[in-house]
Amino acid sequence: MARQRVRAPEQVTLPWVDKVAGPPPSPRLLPGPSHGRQPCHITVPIEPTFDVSQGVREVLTGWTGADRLTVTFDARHLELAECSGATEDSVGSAVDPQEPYVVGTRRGLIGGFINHTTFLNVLRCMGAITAWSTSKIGRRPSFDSIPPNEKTRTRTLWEALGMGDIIAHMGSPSLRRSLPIFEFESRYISPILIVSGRDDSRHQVIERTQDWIFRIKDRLGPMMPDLIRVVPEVVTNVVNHGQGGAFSLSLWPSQQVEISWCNRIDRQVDWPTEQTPQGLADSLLYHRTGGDGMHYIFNELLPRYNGVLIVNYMGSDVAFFSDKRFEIFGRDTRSLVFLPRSILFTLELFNRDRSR
Amino acid sequence: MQRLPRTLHLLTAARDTHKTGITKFGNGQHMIYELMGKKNDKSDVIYYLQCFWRGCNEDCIFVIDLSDLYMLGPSASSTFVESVTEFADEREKPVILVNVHSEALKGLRICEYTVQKKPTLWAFDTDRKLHVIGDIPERWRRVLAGLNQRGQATASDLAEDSSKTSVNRFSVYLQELFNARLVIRDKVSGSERPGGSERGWTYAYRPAFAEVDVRCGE
Repeated sequence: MARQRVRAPEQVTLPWVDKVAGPPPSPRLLPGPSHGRQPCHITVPIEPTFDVSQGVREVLTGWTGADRLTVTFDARHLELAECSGATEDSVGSAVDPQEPYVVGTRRGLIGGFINHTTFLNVLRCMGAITAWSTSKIGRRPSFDSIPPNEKTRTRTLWEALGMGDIIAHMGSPSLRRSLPIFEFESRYISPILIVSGRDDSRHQVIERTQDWIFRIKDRLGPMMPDLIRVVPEVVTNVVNHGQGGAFSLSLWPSQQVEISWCNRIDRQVDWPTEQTPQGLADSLLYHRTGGDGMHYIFNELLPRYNGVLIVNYMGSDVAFFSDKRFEIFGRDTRSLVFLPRSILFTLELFNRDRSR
Repeated sequence: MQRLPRTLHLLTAARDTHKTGITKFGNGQHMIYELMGKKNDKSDVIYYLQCFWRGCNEDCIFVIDLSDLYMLGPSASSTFVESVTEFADEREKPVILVNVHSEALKGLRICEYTVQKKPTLWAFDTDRKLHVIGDIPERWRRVLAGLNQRGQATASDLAEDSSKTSVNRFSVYLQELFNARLVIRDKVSGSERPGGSERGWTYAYRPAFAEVDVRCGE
C-alpha cells in the first residue's frame, strides 16, 4: 500500500503577531544549522526582570552558525514593576503627567520608577553578546530594538533614558568612536550616559550632570553637595574601564536617590583578587585601588543616608549596608559563558528628612 | 615674626596644570575633582609646591588660598591633604589654608581616614573662623589654648609648676605640636631658673595660625 503523502500545512499568520513590527520567529523554531552566508536574526524579549544571562542564553541557543548576527531587543512587553522592594506601600497614581513613569503613593511620599537596572542590563547584555560574537564568529553583531508600545509609561521612560538612540548608536557593527551626550530633559532621571571609545567627553558629562543636580537642588536639600561630590568619582571610574560603561542617576519624588553604573572588568586580570562574589566584597571593602570614590560611598554616603549598595557580579548580587555588613544573594552555578563581562553597581540613598 | 612667602591660590594652580579636572557651577564656584593631573597623583602636587616655593626655606610658613572653590572631590581631597602634609614635613614648616568653603572643609575632613599619615592642618573658613583638619588629642588642645592666650610661650611658662617633670612633659607636648606643624618656634635665650643657673637657650612656641593674615587672597 502506497504511503499517503502528507501535505505540509500552509503557512498562516497567527492572530497575535503584529504584521507591521512583529519580531521574526524565535530562532529555536528555525530549521537546522544555516549556511554561513545567511544572516541569523535573534529577538531577545526584555522583561521587567531582565538580566544579562537571559539575553546571552537566548542568543547562544538561537545562533544558527551564521557568520552575521543581528539581535533585536524587543521591549514591547516590558512593563514597569508595580511595587519596589525598597518600599512597603504599593504604588498609586502618577505624580506628574509629563513624567508618568514616576509613580507615587496616595500620600505622595513613596515613589519612583522601578526596574531601572533592567535598562542597564540590556546594555551589559549587548557587551556580553558582542564579546561572544567577536570571539566565536569573528565579527561584531548588529543590534536594534523595538521600543515599548506607544502611549505607555514604559515608552516615555524608554525615551527619557535615550534607550532607542543608545542601541542605535551602539548597534552598528562598526565600532563607533564617539557617542553624543544626550539632553537632560527630566527632573527625575538623567539619560543613560554611555562611555565612548575615547574619554574626551568625560569632562562634559561630569559638568552637565553636576549642572543638572544644581538645577534640581530644590528637590535635594542637604544631599546636593554629596551628589556633586560623588558624580565625578563614578563617571571617572566608568570611563577608566573603557567603552561599554554606562551611568545613570534618578531622584525619586520620595527623595530616594538611585545611582546606577556599570563597567567592564574583563580587562582586569588581578581584580578582584579572588574572582567570586565574596572576593569582590573583600576587594571593595579592604583593598584601596584607584580613587577614593568607593571609600566615600562606604564610609560617608551609606551611613549618612541609611543607604545600600548592590553590586551585581558573576550572576550574584552583593548588597552592602550602612553598617559595613554585606550579604550575597543569588549565588548559583550558571555556566560562565552566560555570565556578564561587566559589573553593575546600584547605590540607593534615602534622603529621609525631605519629602516632596 | 615669620616671613610669609607668596600665597598659593589653589584654583589658579589647578587651572594652570590640569584644566579639565575642574568644573564650574552656575554660581561662579568651582570644584576640583582631579588635582594637577589625571591620576590625582600626590607627587605631581608636591613637585608643584616645591617649584612654587623654591627658595623659601628659612623662616617661612606657607599659605594656600582656596577661595572660589566650592569643594574638592573625595579623591582630589585625599591627594591635596596628603601632598600638603608631606610637603610640610619635608620643609618642617606649617601650611595653612585660608578662605576654605564649608563644603571644601567637609571634604578635607572626610579624607582624614583614607590618607596614610593622619593630617593636622590649620584652616580658616570663608568667615575667617579657625578650624583644624585632623583629630588632635586633648593634651594638644590644652597646650594650644595656653599658647593662644599667651601669644608665645616656653615649656616652663606653660608648666603647672617649676618641677623638672612638669616642664619636661610640656616640652614633649610642644615638640609633638611642632612635629604636627601646628606651631612654630624660635630660639630664645634661657630663662633664669630657681637656684640661679641660667640655661643657654630654649624654644618659644606660638600657634602657626597667629602669623597669617586671613585676608590674604582677597
